[in-house]
Amino acid sequence: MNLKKIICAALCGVMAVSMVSSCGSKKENRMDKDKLTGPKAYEEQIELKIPVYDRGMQGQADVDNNYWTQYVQKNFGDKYNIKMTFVPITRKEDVSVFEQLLAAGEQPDILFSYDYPTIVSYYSRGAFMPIDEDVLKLYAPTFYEKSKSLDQYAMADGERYFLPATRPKDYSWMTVVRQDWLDKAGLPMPQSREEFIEMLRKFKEMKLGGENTIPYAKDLFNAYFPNYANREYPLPEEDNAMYSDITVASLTWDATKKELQYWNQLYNEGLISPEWMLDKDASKMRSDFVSGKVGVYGFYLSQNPPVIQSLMENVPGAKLSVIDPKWITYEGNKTTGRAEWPFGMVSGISAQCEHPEAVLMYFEWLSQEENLFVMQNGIEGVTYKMEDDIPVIIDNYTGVERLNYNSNKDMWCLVTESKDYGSQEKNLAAQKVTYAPSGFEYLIQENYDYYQNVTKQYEYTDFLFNTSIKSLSQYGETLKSKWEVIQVDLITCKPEEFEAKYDAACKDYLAAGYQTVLDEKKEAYSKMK
Amino acid sequence: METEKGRLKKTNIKSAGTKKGFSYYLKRDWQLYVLLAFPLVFAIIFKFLPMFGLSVAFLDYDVVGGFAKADFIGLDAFREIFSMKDFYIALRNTILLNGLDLIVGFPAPIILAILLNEIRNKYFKRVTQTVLYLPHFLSWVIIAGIFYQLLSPTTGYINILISRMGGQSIPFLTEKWHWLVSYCLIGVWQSMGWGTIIYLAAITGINADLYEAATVDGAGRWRKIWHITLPCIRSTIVVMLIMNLGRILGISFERPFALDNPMVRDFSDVISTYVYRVGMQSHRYNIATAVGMFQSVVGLIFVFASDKFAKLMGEDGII
Repeated sequence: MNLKKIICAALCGVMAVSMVSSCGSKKENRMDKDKLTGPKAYEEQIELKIPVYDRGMQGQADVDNNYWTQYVQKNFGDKYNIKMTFVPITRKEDVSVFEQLLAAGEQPDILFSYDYPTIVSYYSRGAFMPIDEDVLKLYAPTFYEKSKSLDQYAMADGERYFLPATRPKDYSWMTVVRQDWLDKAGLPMPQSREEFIEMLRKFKEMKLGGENTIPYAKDLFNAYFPNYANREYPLPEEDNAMYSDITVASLTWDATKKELQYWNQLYNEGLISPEWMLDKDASKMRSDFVSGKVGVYGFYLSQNPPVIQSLMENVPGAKLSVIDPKWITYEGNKTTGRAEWPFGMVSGISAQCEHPEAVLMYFEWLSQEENLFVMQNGIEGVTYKMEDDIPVIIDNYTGVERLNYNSNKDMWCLVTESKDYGSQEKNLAAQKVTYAPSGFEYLIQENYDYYQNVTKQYEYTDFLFNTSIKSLSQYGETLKSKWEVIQVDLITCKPEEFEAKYDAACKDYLAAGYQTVLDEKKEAYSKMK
Repeated sequence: METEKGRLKKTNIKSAGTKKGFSYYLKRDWQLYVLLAFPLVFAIIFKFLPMFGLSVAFLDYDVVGGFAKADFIGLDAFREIFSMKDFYIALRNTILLNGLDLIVGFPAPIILAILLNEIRNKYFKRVTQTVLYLPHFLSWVIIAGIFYQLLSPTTGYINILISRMGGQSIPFLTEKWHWLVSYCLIGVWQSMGWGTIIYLAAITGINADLYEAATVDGAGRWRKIWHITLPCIRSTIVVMLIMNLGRILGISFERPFALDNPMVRDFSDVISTYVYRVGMQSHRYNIATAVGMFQSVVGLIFVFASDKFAKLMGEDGII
């Protein structure tokens, strides 16, 4: 009995303490432009906590303590008497890690995400403080100028809350076809979806990749389901608002249905990876491609992992071309695809941040050309060398000054998404030496040409709501899990069963929360009009 | 008078007893109390204090605002859970998988322990035991990786072997009924060896005289197992059974999650994965907490019920 009383008392005590302590956070305006007079060194040292992605890459230095974090401390922190603390954020669970830090009241001074709805959700829950435009101009003029074109993405409900990074166009995502297979089959580059399917059939029939030829490599779709081939062009704005987001799959939309039927046909004819439904991280797809079984494969071109180099070792005669973007379009239709967002990383200043102006000073420092260049390329002669005015990273350098993963990208992604050398030609040349293994620079060029000449004119831009769609974060994961089951079911079923299964799946999907999502979107859309 | 005296006597005794109260025993046995203090503090800090968090189930809690901004919502979270179809599917699957585990997985270590006990060569016995323990130390992610490599429908080694020999490939992990069987057997393989430890210890405790007497009476191996080994470890078995029943709704997260794939989601979505998805990934901590609370309450009921049952069967029970 006594023990129970003691425990009860202890529990009550803890509750009381935590209630009181969580009430104690103060609420004065720390962005007051009258008090802030411009960047200068602090008299007393302050601490700035900046999150940085931890990708768990083997053989890399600690993301929160390495040569380059020390470089930032020395060149930025010491100058203003700021102690820079980098907070590692597990890349694959970034949202959960931020949530945990928020729950513990230990959030860094900024929260960021590549996913705009996630950022808007932080905002709508009160995690950010508004950013005064005058203060921004005063403390981060370079950043302000550079990201001016993204102003519409910096606003929420008419006030400035976000700091979006620029995103110069990147050409490393590509779908390649085995040119040597096309030559052997005597086929030209497919100019439509119909021709593409014919090509796949021929690949299979001729067993160009051996007994288990996979004409077209595929993995499990996540919520992003490219159904562009079956969309109208131009797309009515309301349809775009209702169905274009990539957080949940738009199962009930006609374009999605038709696209699923297309995949069903490919699967039933044996034209795609037979075990695609077990391939969640595209690793099976990659190993199939590398072993020479695959005809068509979509991936990010990179030197590491050495996909192309391994393919060349396994299949010495292999030749690759970027596939003509018309391959996804039905005959007579417009060529289409998804337009990338013009922004990269989007950050917001935490509502608990003590010195928001210091955050802006850091953004400014990163944005300045001379600092950004060093952060992206390191030290001349040590980590990079200049070739035709373009810095080329020295791959095999292993000293302490070695750049972190992807040329320190996770540190400078706050202000830009890729290296920008001021002109398209220079950027393209830089991307060639950055992404392509030697001898395959032409792939970047082909991809660039196709984009400029074909894709660019008929791209779809996702719709952006100016308010947060709350049901998306509430039901997103449930719908994603349902979508995994449904896509497998609908793509692997017999064609004659498709209609009935699709109707049943839609009903289930709507009931699991998609109806709520659609209703909320509709309301938000009508409010914007 | 006499009654008065008697009463006096009684109170005297009583007061004498209270005089030698807690402080007396504390002084006399303080070493023991210090020993007790450690587990007690441990239990309070790690088992009782966290229960404060259960209040989240009744609050409109969000990590950004914290407890300060959370409004009281009563039983709304529970109402929402009990109106979701997926919750019942997860509940059914949890009971199904745990039930099958209990049927297939619970007797396995007992049988194995008895078999091990019968091995004569002690070196062979030790090596076997150690090898059997090994899978217990592998994480489920690795186990799932191994079995997906082995059992995939077209690229798995087992199925390649089957189809080379002219058979039809078996969808061990990609068809839901096959998956159920695979799930159970992989579980048995993983935990059977480790589970034998407690039974082997119990068997070691059996008085050797009993076996000698049985030999004298002409009992064979089977007779001895049936009439001596099993009855002597019966109480251990019952305690283990009660503890297992208490966990009937508490299912580990790693095993169903790692072995899951979209073709078997009908069976592989259990309470723990459901909580992860609906509660943690969707950041609805009140839902997650409410489901957890429901799980614990049902688990407690099961423990009490099976304890009652054990007592009815003439065993000691654990409470």
